[in-house]
Amino acid sequence: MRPARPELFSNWTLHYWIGTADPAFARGLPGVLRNPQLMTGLWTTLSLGVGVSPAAVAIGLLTAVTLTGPRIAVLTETVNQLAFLPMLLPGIAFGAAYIALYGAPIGPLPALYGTPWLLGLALTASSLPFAVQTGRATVAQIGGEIDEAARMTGASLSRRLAAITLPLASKGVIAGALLVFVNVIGDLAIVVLL
Amino acid sequence: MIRLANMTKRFSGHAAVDDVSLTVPEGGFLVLLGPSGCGKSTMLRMLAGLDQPSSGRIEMGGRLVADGSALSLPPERRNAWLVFQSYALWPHMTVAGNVDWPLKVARHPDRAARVEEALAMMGIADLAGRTLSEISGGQQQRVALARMIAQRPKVMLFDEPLSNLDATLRVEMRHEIARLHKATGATAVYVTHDQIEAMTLATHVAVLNKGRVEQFAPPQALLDSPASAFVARFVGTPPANLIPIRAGAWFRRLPDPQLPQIDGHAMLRAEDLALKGPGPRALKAQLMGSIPMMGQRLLTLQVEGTRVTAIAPPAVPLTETMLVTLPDTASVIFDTEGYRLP
Repeated sequence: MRPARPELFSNWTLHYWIGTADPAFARGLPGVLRNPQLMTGLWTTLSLGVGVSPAAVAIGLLTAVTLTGPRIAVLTETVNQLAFLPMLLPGIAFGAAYIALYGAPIGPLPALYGTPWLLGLALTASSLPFAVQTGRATVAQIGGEIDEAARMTGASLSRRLAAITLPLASKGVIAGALLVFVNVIGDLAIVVLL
Repeated sequence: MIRLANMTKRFSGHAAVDDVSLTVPEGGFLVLLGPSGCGKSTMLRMLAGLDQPSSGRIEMGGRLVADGSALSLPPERRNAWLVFQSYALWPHMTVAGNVDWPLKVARHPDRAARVEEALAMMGIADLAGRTLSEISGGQQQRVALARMIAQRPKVMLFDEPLSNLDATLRVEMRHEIARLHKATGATAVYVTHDQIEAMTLATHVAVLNKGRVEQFAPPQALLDSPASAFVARFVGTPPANLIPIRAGAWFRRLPDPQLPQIDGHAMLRAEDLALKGPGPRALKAQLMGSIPMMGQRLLTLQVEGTRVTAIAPPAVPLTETMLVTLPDTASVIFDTEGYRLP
């Protein structure tokens, strides 16, 4: 192998990432990280991911707790299957449905079209299958008797969740949140519509 | 005191616990004994308040705690605690944390002293700061018991608490539970399928079969006068032999005027069978196996296609075929349905 020559790397540059506008270079375009439009988009995407994943995971975990509790066969099975529904709908249809639902003001609520809130709502709903299924796996791992021992003390559901279920579920919760996060920031169909 | 009146639990039409009525006095030790699926754990869960009876009443300490679908006090208002089969300790808390948390929820004013006392009573005061992954299964069982006694319940419930321990630890923990029961004076209800645990711990035993009480009696009475063939097969070390009789003939072919002229089973204890012969009441038996026990040997023999157990004193030589002599009488006879003849 020939020794590396310094001139081999001499024309490498970070200009396309962080460079300021320079008329002599790339037709005066600044680096992508200096593009205000792109940066707003990036921040919106990331904050949507950060906002939606805890919300989806919380709903998923609550659903999972309910599903593993005392079973009412038909009802629990229905809820369990309903949790898969968002996966069945194409993203475009999902987005359109949300425009139809929240595009106009409902009572005291203002129209949400064009705000990040609508994006958040739609993305949370579309992520529920992941959240509910990881939540179920997590809750199943903790097992009935550990929660029943907590029930024996008379602690309320919220207290049991905070003191027993969540600390034990933290690993599963983080995995679920990551899954939702990746799903949300990679979503195109819903976001492009709303 | 615990009083159950017509307690029934149905799961989609099928009765897991079927019309159970019994009374245990204050400070008594009730063992619910039966094979898996007999409804004993369901009964315990109803006593704990985790499940609600479909119908029937539960009284604890003179107070009505459950009445069909009309009333079911939540667990924390029953002054009872359940020791779970899996211990159900909270793995993210320390040993002391596990004992402390129920007191914290109950806003007990003097938690530290209670925790310390309970841990000392179970001999695990030095483990207080450990996490559960750092202690052994036997020690975890002690934590589970300490978590209970720190709350000083009037009713202690145990769901097969020794089934996850090895044989030596099981004996040790059995004595610990007996000691706790004596020291606290609480009423205990203990679920097990192990008849030795039942015989050593209980003041009262309820033998359960398919959700119904086959017999409710002190341990000795179960051995002396079992109410049904099911009870006779289930209790005793070794369990009693049930010899088939047909029209008053042992093993269907050795007529005996002493026997009632019916079909059914006669109960014979291992010690009732004498290893001697020949004689008019002697039968040929094939030796299947032997276990040394208390200086003697416990033999498993095959007689006329029926497996029986007998006791061989050290002087008796073991041979492949042996002679077994039946006793003069059999005091306990069951009919074909398994009910005892009066």
